[in-house]
Amino acid sequence: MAYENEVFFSTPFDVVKAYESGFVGAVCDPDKTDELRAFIKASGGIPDGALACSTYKLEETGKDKLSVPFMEVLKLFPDCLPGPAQGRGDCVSHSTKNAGLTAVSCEVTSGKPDEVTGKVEGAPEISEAGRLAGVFSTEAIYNWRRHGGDGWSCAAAAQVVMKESGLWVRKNYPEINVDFTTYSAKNAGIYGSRTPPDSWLKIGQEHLVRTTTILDSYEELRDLIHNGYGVSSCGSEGFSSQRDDNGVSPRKGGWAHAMAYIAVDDRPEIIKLYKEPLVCVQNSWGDWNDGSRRIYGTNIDIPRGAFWARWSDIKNREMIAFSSVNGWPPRKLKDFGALGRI
Amino acid sequence: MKKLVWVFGALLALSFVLPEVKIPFSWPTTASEEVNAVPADPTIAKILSGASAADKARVRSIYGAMAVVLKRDGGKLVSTTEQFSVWQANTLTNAVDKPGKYEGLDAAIEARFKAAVGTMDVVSITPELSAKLVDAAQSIANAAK
Repeated sequence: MAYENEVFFSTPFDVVKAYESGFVGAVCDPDKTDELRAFIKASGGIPDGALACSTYKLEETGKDKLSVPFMEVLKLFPDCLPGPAQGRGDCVSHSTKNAGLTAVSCEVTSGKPDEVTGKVEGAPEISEAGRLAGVFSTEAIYNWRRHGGDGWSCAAAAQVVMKESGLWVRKNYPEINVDFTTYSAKNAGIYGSRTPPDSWLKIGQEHLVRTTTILDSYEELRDLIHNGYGVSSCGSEGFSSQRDDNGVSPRKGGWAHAMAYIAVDDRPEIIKLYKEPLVCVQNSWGDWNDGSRRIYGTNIDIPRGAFWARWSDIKNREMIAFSSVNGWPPRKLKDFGALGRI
Repeated sequence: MKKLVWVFGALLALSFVLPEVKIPFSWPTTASEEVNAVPADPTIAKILSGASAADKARVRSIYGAMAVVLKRDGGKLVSTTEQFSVWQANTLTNAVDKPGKYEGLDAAIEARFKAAVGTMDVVSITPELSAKLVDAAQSIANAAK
Protein backbone atom coordinates (compact mmCIF):
# COMPACT_ATOMS: atom_id res chain seq x y z
CA MET A 1 0.00 0.00 0.00
CA ALA A 2 1.65 3.28 -1.13
CA TYR A 3 0.67 6.55 0.49
CA GLU A 4 1.44 10.14 -0.48
CA ASN A 5 3.84 12.14 1.67
CA GLU A 6 2.35 14.69 4.07
CA VAL A 7 0.80 17.59 2.16
CA PHE A 8 -0.91 20.61 3.75
CA PHE A 9 -3.63 22.72 2.13
CA SER A 10 -4.17 26.41 2.88
CA THR A 11 -7.62 26.93 1.35
CA PRO A 12 -10.57 24.84 0.16
CA PHE A 13 -9.47 25.64 -3.40
CA ASP A 14 -6.14 23.91 -2.75
CA VAL A 15 -7.95 20.83 -1.42
CA VAL A 16 -10.25 20.60 -4.43
CA LYS A 17 -7.36 21.10 -6.82
CA ALA A 18 -5.26 18.43 -5.13
CA TYR A 19 -8.01 15.79 -5.14
CA GLU A 20 -8.92 16.61 -8.74
CA SER A 21 -5.27 16.18 -9.67
CA GLY A 22 -5.06 12.66 -8.27
CA PHE A 23 -4.22 13.23 -4.61
CA VAL A 24 -5.05 10.07 -2.67
CA GLY A 25 -7.06 10.73 0.49
CA ALA A 26 -8.99 7.49 0.58
CA VAL A 27 -7.67 4.09 -0.39
CA CYS A 28 -9.46 0.86 -1.13
CA ASP A 29 -7.89 -1.80 1.07
CA PRO A 30 -9.74 -5.14 0.87
CA ASP A 31 -7.53 -6.58 3.61
CA LYS A 32 -8.66 -3.85 6.01
CA THR A 33 -12.29 -4.47 5.07
CA ASP A 34 -11.83 -8.19 5.82
CA GLU A 35 -10.16 -7.27 9.12
CA LEU A 36 -13.08 -5.01 10.00
CA ARG A 37 -15.57 -7.72 9.12
CA ALA A 38 -13.75 -10.17 11.41
CA PHE A 39 -13.52 -7.59 14.19
CA ILE A 40 -17.25 -6.79 14.04
CA LYS A 41 -18.05 -10.49 14.20
CA ALA A 42 -15.65 -11.06 17.10
CA SER A 43 -17.29 -8.15 18.97
CA GLY A 44 -20.70 -9.77 18.66
CA GLY A 45 -21.91 -7.49 15.87
CA ILE A 46 -23.30 -8.15 12.42
CA PRO A 47 -20.84 -7.22 9.65
CA ASP A 48 -23.34 -7.74 6.87
CA GLY A 49 -25.76 -4.82 6.33
CA ALA A 50 -28.55 -6.93 4.84
CA LEU A 51 -28.44 -9.33 7.78
CA ALA A 52 -28.39 -6.41 10.24
CA CYS A 53 -31.49 -4.93 8.56
CA SER A 54 -33.40 -8.20 8.72
CA THR A 55 -32.25 -9.03 12.26
CA TYR A 56 -33.37 -5.66 13.63
CA LYS A 57 -36.49 -5.57 11.41
CA LEU A 58 -35.41 -2.44 9.59
CA GLU A 59 -36.10 -3.72 6.08
CA GLU A 60 -38.24 -1.39 3.94
CA THR A 61 -38.55 1.13 6.79
CA GLY A 62 -37.09 3.89 4.64
CA LYS A 63 -39.02 2.97 1.48
CA ASP A 64 -40.78 5.88 -0.27
CA LYS A 65 -39.54 8.29 2.40
CA LEU A 66 -37.30 11.30 2.74
CA SER A 67 -34.93 10.47 5.62
CA VAL A 68 -32.90 13.40 6.93
CA PRO A 69 -30.85 12.43 10.00
CA PHE A 70 -28.63 15.49 9.47
CA MET A 71 -31.53 17.51 10.90
CA GLU A 72 -31.01 15.77 14.24
CA VAL A 73 -27.34 16.78 14.10
CA LEU A 74 -28.21 20.42 13.41
CA LYS A 75 -30.95 20.39 16.05
CA LEU A 76 -28.36 19.60 18.72
CA PHE A 77 -25.40 21.42 17.20
CA PRO A 78 -26.53 24.26 14.91
CA ASP A 79 -24.09 25.19 12.13
CA CYS A 80 -21.69 22.34 12.97
CA LEU A 81 -21.78 21.13 9.36
CA PRO A 82 -19.79 21.16 7.13
CA GLY A 83 -17.14 21.80 9.82
CA PRO A 84 -13.66 22.95 8.96
CA ALA A 85 -12.25 22.42 5.48
CA GLN A 86 -9.59 19.73 5.38
CA GLY A 87 -6.07 21.05 5.77
CA ARG A 88 -4.49 17.78 4.61
CA GLY A 89 -5.49 14.42 3.16
CA ASP A 90 -7.43 13.39 6.25
CA CYS A 91 -10.83 13.01 4.55
CA VAL A 92 -11.32 9.53 6.02
CA SER A 93 -11.26 10.91 9.56
CA HIS A 94 -13.75 13.66 8.60
CA SER A 95 -16.09 11.14 7.00
CA THR A 96 -15.75 8.82 10.00
CA LYS A 97 -16.34 11.68 12.43
CA ASN A 98 -19.45 12.85 10.54
CA ALA A 99 -20.86 9.33 10.54
CA GLY A 100 -20.26 9.12 14.30
CA LEU A 101 -21.77 12.57 14.82
CA THR A 102 -24.92 11.53 12.95
CA ALA A 103 -25.26 8.33 14.97
CA VAL A 104 -24.76 10.12 18.31
CA SER A 105 -27.21 12.90 17.44
CA CYS A 106 -29.93 10.48 16.37
CA GLU A 107 -29.45 8.46 19.54
CA VAL A 108 -29.75 11.55 21.72
CA THR A 109 -32.80 13.04 20.01
CA SER A 110 -34.58 9.67 19.96
CA GLY A 111 -34.73 9.88 23.76
CA LYS A 112 -34.29 6.10 23.91
CA PRO A 113 -32.09 4.59 26.63
CA ASP A 114 -28.63 3.39 25.62
CA GLU A 115 -28.85 -0.30 24.72
CA VAL A 116 -25.87 -1.22 26.93
CA THR A 117 -26.02 1.16 29.91
CA GLY A 118 -29.82 1.62 29.91
CA LYS A 119 -29.38 5.34 30.52
CA VAL A 120 -30.89 8.09 28.41
CA GLU A 121 -27.89 9.89 27.01
CA GLY A 122 -27.46 13.57 26.35
CA ALA A 123 -25.50 15.69 23.95
CA PRO A 124 -22.00 16.55 25.18
CA GLU A 125 -21.19 20.03 26.43
CA ILE A 126 -19.46 21.90 23.66
CA SER A 127 -18.06 25.41 23.27
CA GLU A 128 -19.21 27.55 20.37
CA ALA A 129 -15.78 27.26 18.75
CA GLY A 130 -15.87 23.49 19.15
CA ARG A 131 -19.39 23.25 17.73
CA LEU A 132 -18.50 25.31 14.68
CA ALA A 133 -15.41 23.14 14.20
CA GLY A 134 -17.60 20.06 13.85
CA VAL A 135 -18.22 19.00 17.50
CA PHE A 136 -15.85 16.00 17.47
CA SER A 137 -12.15 15.90 16.70
CA THR A 138 -11.02 14.38 13.42
CA GLU A 139 -7.38 14.64 14.47
CA ALA A 140 -7.90 12.23 17.39
CA ILE A 141 -8.98 9.61 14.84
CA TYR A 142 -6.43 10.39 12.14
CA ASN A 143 -3.45 10.04 14.50
CA TRP A 144 -4.18 6.30 14.59
CA ARG A 145 -3.58 5.73 10.88
CA ARG A 146 -0.08 4.39 11.66
CA HIS A 147 1.80 5.63 8.61
CA GLY A 148 3.75 8.79 7.92
CA GLY A 149 1.97 10.06 4.83
CA ASP A 150 -1.64 10.93 4.13
CA GLY A 151 -4.61 8.87 3.06
CA TRP A 152 -6.39 6.01 4.82
CA SER A 153 -9.11 3.43 4.35
CA CYS A 154 -12.67 3.78 5.68
CA ALA A 155 -12.56 0.24 7.07
CA ALA A 156 -9.34 0.88 9.00
CA ALA A 157 -10.74 4.10 10.47
CA ALA A 158 -13.99 2.32 11.43
CA GLN A 159 -11.97 -0.24 13.33
CA VAL A 160 -10.06 2.51 15.14
CA VAL A 161 -13.23 4.24 16.37
CA MET A 162 -14.55 0.88 17.55
CA LYS A 163 -11.54 -0.16 19.59
CA GLU A 164 -8.96 2.58 20.11
CA SER A 165 -10.06 6.14 19.56
CA GLY A 166 -13.79 6.87 19.48
CA LEU A 167 -15.37 10.31 19.52
CA TRP A 168 -13.47 13.12 21.23
CA VAL A 169 -15.40 16.30 21.98
CA ARG A 170 -13.64 19.35 20.58
CA LYS A 171 -11.97 20.90 23.65
CA ASN A 172 -8.61 21.28 25.31
CA TYR A 173 -7.02 18.07 26.62
CA PRO A 174 -4.30 19.27 29.02
CA GLU A 175 -3.59 15.70 30.12
CA ILE A 176 -2.10 14.97 26.69
CA ASN A 177 -1.09 18.57 26.05
CA VAL A 178 -3.22 18.95 22.92
CA ASP A 179 -6.01 21.44 22.28
CA PHE A 180 -8.61 19.95 19.96
CA THR A 181 -11.09 22.86 20.32
CA THR A 182 -10.53 23.86 16.72
CA TYR A 183 -9.30 21.84 13.78
CA SER A 184 -5.57 21.67 13.15
CA ALA A 185 -4.12 19.76 10.21
CA LYS A 186 -0.79 19.68 12.06
CA ASN A 187 -2.39 18.08 15.14
CA ALA A 188 -3.81 15.38 12.87
CA GLY A 189 -0.27 14.20 12.20
CA ILE A 190 1.40 14.28 15.61
CA TYR A 191 2.04 10.52 15.66
CA GLY A 192 2.41 9.76 11.96
CA SER A 193 3.59 6.17 11.64
CA ARG A 194 3.78 5.67 15.41
CA THR A 195 0.95 4.41 17.61
CA PRO A 196 -0.37 7.06 20.02
CA PRO A 197 0.52 6.37 23.68
CA ASP A 198 -1.68 4.93 26.43
CA SER A 199 -2.70 8.41 27.56
CA TRP A 200 -4.45 8.84 24.19
CA LEU A 201 -5.89 5.35 24.29
CA LYS A 202 -7.44 6.03 27.70
CA ILE A 203 -9.33 9.11 26.48
CA GLY A 204 -10.12 7.53 23.14
CA GLN A 205 -11.87 4.58 24.78
CA GLU A 206 -14.40 6.71 26.65
CA HIS A 207 -16.76 7.13 23.71
CA LEU A 208 -16.18 4.26 21.32
CA VAL A 209 -18.54 3.39 18.49
CA ARG A 210 -19.96 0.01 19.44
CA THR A 211 -21.46 -1.12 16.17
CA THR A 212 -20.47 -0.84 12.54
CA THR A 213 -21.94 -2.66 9.58
CA ILE A 214 -20.65 -2.97 6.03
CA LEU A 215 -23.28 -2.11 3.43
CA ASP A 216 -23.63 -3.61 -0.03
CA SER A 217 -26.89 -2.23 -1.42
CA TYR A 218 -29.01 0.87 -1.71
CA GLU A 219 -31.82 -0.72 0.30
CA GLU A 220 -29.50 -1.35 3.25
CA LEU A 221 -28.22 2.22 3.07
CA ARG A 222 -31.74 3.66 2.82
CA ASP A 223 -33.13 1.68 5.74
CA LEU A 224 -30.17 2.23 8.06
CA ILE A 225 -30.03 5.98 7.37
CA HIS A 226 -33.76 6.13 8.01
CA ASN A 227 -33.09 4.56 11.40
CA GLY A 228 -30.45 7.09 12.42
CA TYR A 229 -27.25 5.30 11.45
CA GLY A 230 -24.35 7.46 10.22
CA VAL A 231 -22.54 6.26 7.11
CA SER A 232 -18.92 6.78 6.08
CA SER A 233 -18.00 6.10 2.46
CA CYS A 234 -14.79 5.75 0.48
CA GLY A 235 -14.46 5.74 -3.31
CA SER A 236 -13.05 7.32 -6.42
CA GLU A 237 -16.03 9.31 -7.75
CA GLY A 238 -15.82 13.07 -8.26
CA PHE A 239 -18.77 15.47 -8.43
CA SER A 240 -19.59 18.85 -9.88
CA SER A 241 -19.27 21.83 -7.55
CA GLN A 242 -22.57 23.12 -8.95
CA ARG A 243 -25.85 21.87 -7.43
CA ASP A 244 -29.06 21.98 -9.48
CA ASP A 245 -32.32 23.57 -8.26
CA ASN A 246 -32.88 20.63 -5.91
CA GLY A 247 -29.31 20.43 -4.61
CA VAL A 248 -28.28 17.54 -6.89
CA SER A 249 -24.74 17.39 -8.29
CA PRO A 250 -23.81 15.22 -11.27
CA ARG A 251 -20.62 13.14 -11.51
CA LYS A 252 -17.55 15.01 -12.67
CA GLY A 253 -13.99 13.71 -12.64
CA GLY A 254 -12.54 11.47 -9.99
CA TRP A 255 -11.41 11.90 -6.38
CA ALA A 256 -9.83 9.24 -4.16
CA HIS A 257 -11.93 10.56 -1.33
CA ALA A 258 -14.02 9.76 1.74
CA MET A 259 -17.37 11.46 2.44
CA ALA A 260 -20.26 10.86 4.83
CA TYR A 261 -23.86 10.12 3.83
CA ILE A 262 -26.34 12.14 5.87
CA ALA A 263 -29.74 11.67 4.18
CA VAL A 264 -31.61 9.58 1.63
CA ASP A 265 -34.52 10.63 -0.59
CA ASP A 266 -36.59 7.64 -1.69
CA ARG A 267 -39.84 9.53 -2.36
CA PRO A 268 -41.72 8.45 -5.50
CA GLU A 269 -41.72 12.04 -6.81
CA ILE A 270 -37.90 12.14 -6.61
CA ILE A 271 -37.58 8.77 -8.33
CA LYS A 272 -39.93 10.08 -11.04
CA LEU A 273 -37.86 13.25 -11.42
CA TYR A 274 -34.35 11.73 -11.35
CA LYS A 275 -35.24 8.14 -12.37
CA GLU A 276 -33.63 6.87 -9.17
CA PRO A 277 -33.25 7.70 -5.46
CA LEU A 278 -30.83 10.29 -4.11
CA VAL A 279 -28.25 10.16 -1.33
CA CYS A 280 -27.07 13.33 0.44
CA VAL A 281 -23.29 13.48 0.65
CA GLN A 282 -21.53 15.66 3.22
CA ASN A 283 -18.13 16.72 1.96
CA SER A 284 -15.33 18.03 4.21
CA TRP A 285 -14.00 20.82 2.04
CA GLY A 286 -15.88 23.68 3.70
CA ASP A 287 -17.82 25.92 1.28
CA TRP A 288 -16.49 24.31 -1.87
CA ASN A 289 -19.74 24.14 -3.92
CA ASP A 290 -22.60 26.40 -5.05
CA GLY A 291 -26.25 26.20 -6.04
CA SER A 292 -29.53 25.47 -4.31
CA ARG A 293 -29.55 23.59 -1.02
CA ARG A 294 -33.35 23.32 -0.83
CA ILE A 295 -34.79 19.79 -0.69
CA TYR A 296 -37.42 19.28 -3.39
CA GLY A 297 -40.95 19.94 -2.15
CA THR A 298 -39.86 21.02 1.33
CA ASN A 299 -38.57 24.08 3.17
CA ILE A 300 -35.52 22.15 4.38
CA ASP A 301 -31.98 22.99 3.27
CA ILE A 302 -29.16 20.47 3.19
CA PRO A 303 -26.02 21.64 5.05
CA ARG A 304 -23.39 23.79 3.40
CA GLY A 305 -20.77 21.78 1.57
CA ALA A 306 -23.25 18.93 0.97
CA PHE A 307 -24.97 17.78 -2.22
CA TRP A 308 -27.39 15.11 -3.39
CA ALA A 309 -25.92 12.33 -5.53
CA ARG A 310 -27.83 9.87 -7.68
CA TRP A 311 -27.56 6.37 -6.25
CA SER A 312 -26.10 5.04 -9.54
CA ASP A 313 -23.26 7.57 -9.23
CA ILE A 314 -22.14 6.26 -5.84
CA LYS A 315 -23.18 2.61 -5.96
CA ASN A 316 -19.59 1.33 -6.19
CA ARG A 317 -18.34 3.12 -3.08
CA GLU A 318 -17.46 1.31 0.14
CA MET A 319 -20.08 2.11 2.80
CA ILE A 320 -19.82 1.56 6.54
CA ALA A 321 -22.74 2.36 8.85
CA PHE A 322 -22.18 3.40 12.48
CA SER A 323 -24.50 3.16 15.46
CA SER A 324 -24.62 2.76 19.22
CA VAL A 325 -21.95 5.14 20.43
CA ASN A 326 -21.01 4.99 24.10
CA GLY A 327 -22.41 8.45 24.72
CA TRP A 328 -22.49 11.21 27.27
CA PRO A 329 -24.59 11.64 30.43
CA PRO A 330 -27.59 13.92 30.01
CA ARG A 331 -27.12 17.60 30.74
CA LYS A 332 -28.99 18.96 33.74
CA LEU A 333 -31.62 21.69 33.54
CA LYS A 334 -31.14 24.66 35.85
CA ASP A 335 -34.93 25.09 35.91
CA PHE A 336 -37.92 24.81 33.61
CA GLY A 337 -37.91 28.53 32.87
CA ALA A 338 -40.41 29.87 35.42
CA LEU A 339 -38.17 30.55 38.44
CA GLY A 340 -37.97 34.28 39.14
CA ARG A 341 -39.96 35.18 36.04
CA ILE A 342 -43.58 35.15 37.25
CA MET B 1 -65.52 43.73 0.57
CA LYS B 2 -68.80 44.02 -1.29
CA LYS B 3 -68.38 40.44 -2.52
CA LEU B 4 -67.79 39.20 1.02
CA VAL B 5 -71.00 40.86 2.21
CA TRP B 6 -72.87 39.04 -0.54
CA VAL B 7 -71.30 35.72 0.36
CA PHE B 8 -72.13 36.03 4.05
CA GLY B 9 -75.62 37.31 3.19
CA ALA B 10 -76.19 34.27 1.00
CA LEU B 11 -74.94 31.90 3.72
CA LEU B 12 -77.20 33.56 6.30
CA ALA B 13 -80.22 33.28 4.00
CA LEU B 14 -79.34 29.63 3.32
CA SER B 15 -79.26 28.92 7.05
CA PHE B 16 -82.88 30.02 7.37
CA VAL B 17 -84.00 28.09 4.29
CA LEU B 18 -82.01 24.90 5.05
CA PRO B 19 -81.37 24.93 8.81
CA GLU B 20 -80.22 21.26 8.93
CA VAL B 21 -77.56 21.58 6.25
CA LYS B 22 -74.02 21.83 7.56
CA ILE B 23 -71.80 24.30 5.77
CA PRO B 24 -68.67 22.40 4.68
CA PHE B 25 -66.01 24.44 6.45
CA SER B 26 -65.03 25.13 10.02
CA TRP B 27 -63.43 28.02 11.81
CA PRO B 28 -60.18 27.40 13.68
CA THR B 29 -60.86 25.80 17.02
CA THR B 30 -60.25 27.76 20.17
CA ALA B 31 -57.66 26.89 22.76
CA SER B 32 -60.15 25.45 25.21
CA GLU B 33 -61.59 23.16 22.56
CA GLU B 34 -58.18 21.83 21.55
CA VAL B 35 -56.84 20.88 24.95
CA ASN B 36 -58.60 18.34 27.09
CA ALA B 37 -59.90 19.57 30.38
CA VAL B 38 -57.49 18.64 33.17
CA PRO B 39 -57.84 19.30 36.90
CA ALA B 40 -56.53 22.63 38.14
CA ASP B 41 -53.25 22.45 40.03
CA PRO B 42 -54.38 22.90 43.67
CA THR B 43 -51.18 24.58 44.90
CA ILE B 44 -51.27 27.16 42.14
CA ALA B 45 -55.01 27.68 42.60
CA LYS B 46 -54.41 28.42 46.28
CA ILE B 47 -51.60 30.89 45.54
CA LEU B 48 -53.78 32.69 43.00
CA SER B 49 -56.98 32.61 45.10
CA GLY B 50 -56.55 36.25 46.11
CA ALA B 51 -55.23 37.44 42.76
CA SER B 52 -56.98 40.13 40.73
CA ALA B 53 -59.16 39.08 37.81
CA ALA B 54 -56.69 40.68 35.41
CA ASP B 55 -53.72 38.77 36.85
CA LYS B 56 -55.64 35.49 36.77
CA ALA B 57 -56.61 36.16 33.17
CA ARG B 58 -52.95 36.81 32.31
CA VAL B 59 -51.78 33.51 33.84
CA ARG B 60 -54.68 31.69 32.20
CA SER B 61 -53.93 33.09 28.76
CA ILE B 62 -50.16 32.45 28.99
CA TYR B 63 -50.46 28.82 30.02
CA GLY B 64 -53.58 28.10 27.99
CA ALA B 65 -51.74 29.33 24.90
CA MET B 66 -48.64 27.33 25.85
CA ALA B 67 -50.77 24.19 26.11
CA VAL B 68 -52.20 24.75 22.64
CA VAL B 69 -48.82 25.48 21.06
CA LEU B 70 -47.20 22.47 22.76
CA LYS B 71 -50.02 20.25 21.58
CA ARG B 72 -49.78 21.46 17.99
CA ASP B 73 -45.99 21.17 18.02
CA GLY B 74 -45.90 17.66 19.50
CA GLY B 75 -42.15 17.91 20.19
CA LYS B 76 -41.13 18.88 16.66
CA LEU B 77 -39.90 22.44 17.19
CA VAL B 78 -39.63 22.46 20.97
CA SER B 79 -37.86 19.14 20.87
CA THR B 80 -35.97 18.99 24.17
CA THR B 81 -36.75 20.04 27.73
CA GLU B 82 -33.88 22.50 27.46
CA GLN B 83 -35.66 24.23 24.59
CA PHE B 84 -38.88 24.14 26.59
CA SER B 85 -37.12 25.83 29.50
CA VAL B 86 -35.78 28.62 27.27
CA TRP B 87 -39.17 29.01 25.61
CA GLN B 88 -41.04 29.33 28.91
CA ALA B 89 -38.41 31.74 30.27
CA ASN B 90 -38.65 33.99 27.21
CA THR B 91 -42.44 33.86 27.21
CA LEU B 92 -42.65 34.92 30.85
CA THR B 93 -39.99 37.61 30.45
CA ASN B 94 -42.10 39.19 27.71
CA ALA B 95 -45.51 38.60 29.29
CA VAL B 96 -45.04 39.34 32.99
CA ASP B 97 -44.40 42.91 34.14
CA LYS B 98 -43.80 42.30 37.84
CA PRO B 99 -42.34 38.89 38.66
CA GLY B 100 -42.67 37.79 42.29
CA LYS B 101 -46.05 39.47 42.92
CA TYR B 102 -47.52 36.14 44.11
CA GLU B 103 -45.07 34.42 46.42
CA GLY B 104 -44.33 30.83 45.55
CA LEU B 105 -46.09 30.92 42.17
CA ASP B 106 -42.87 30.43 40.18
CA ALA B 107 -41.78 27.50 42.36
CA ALA B 108 -45.24 25.91 42.14
CA ILE B 109 -45.18 26.16 38.34
CA GLU B 110 -41.67 24.68 38.30
CA ALA B 111 -42.86 21.82 40.51
CA ARG B 112 -45.79 21.14 38.19
CA PHE B 113 -43.53 20.84 35.13
CA LYS B 114 -40.95 18.83 37.05
CA ALA B 115 -43.66 16.39 38.07
CA ALA B 116 -44.69 16.10 34.41
CA VAL B 117 -41.16 15.51 33.11
CA GLY B 118 -39.91 13.45 36.04
CA THR B 119 -36.27 14.50 35.75
CA MET B 120 -34.05 17.55 35.60
CA ASP B 121 -31.97 15.86 32.89
CA VAL B 122 -32.26 17.39 29.44
CA VAL B 123 -34.39 14.88 27.56
CA SER B 124 -36.11 14.78 24.21
CA ILE B 125 -39.76 15.72 24.09
CA THR B 126 -41.36 12.54 22.82
CA PRO B 127 -45.07 12.51 21.91
CA GLU B 128 -45.79 11.00 25.35
CA LEU B 129 -43.83 13.68 27.18
CA SER B 130 -45.38 16.36 25.01
CA ALA B 131 -48.84 15.21 26.16
CA LYS B 132 -47.72 15.45 29.80
CA LEU B 133 -46.40 18.98 29.28
CA VAL B 134 -49.69 19.97 27.63
CA ASP B 135 -51.60 18.67 30.65
CA ALA B 136 -49.26 20.49 33.02
CA ALA B 137 -49.64 23.80 31.19
CA GLN B 138 -53.43 23.38 31.07
CA SER B 139 -53.60 22.51 34.77
CA ILE B 140 -51.77 25.77 35.51
CA ALA B 141 -54.16 27.69 33.23
CA ASN B 142 -57.15 26.05 34.89
CA ALA B 143 -55.83 26.99 38.33
CA ALA B 144 -56.17 30.65 37.36
CA LYS B 145 -59.91 30.47 36.70
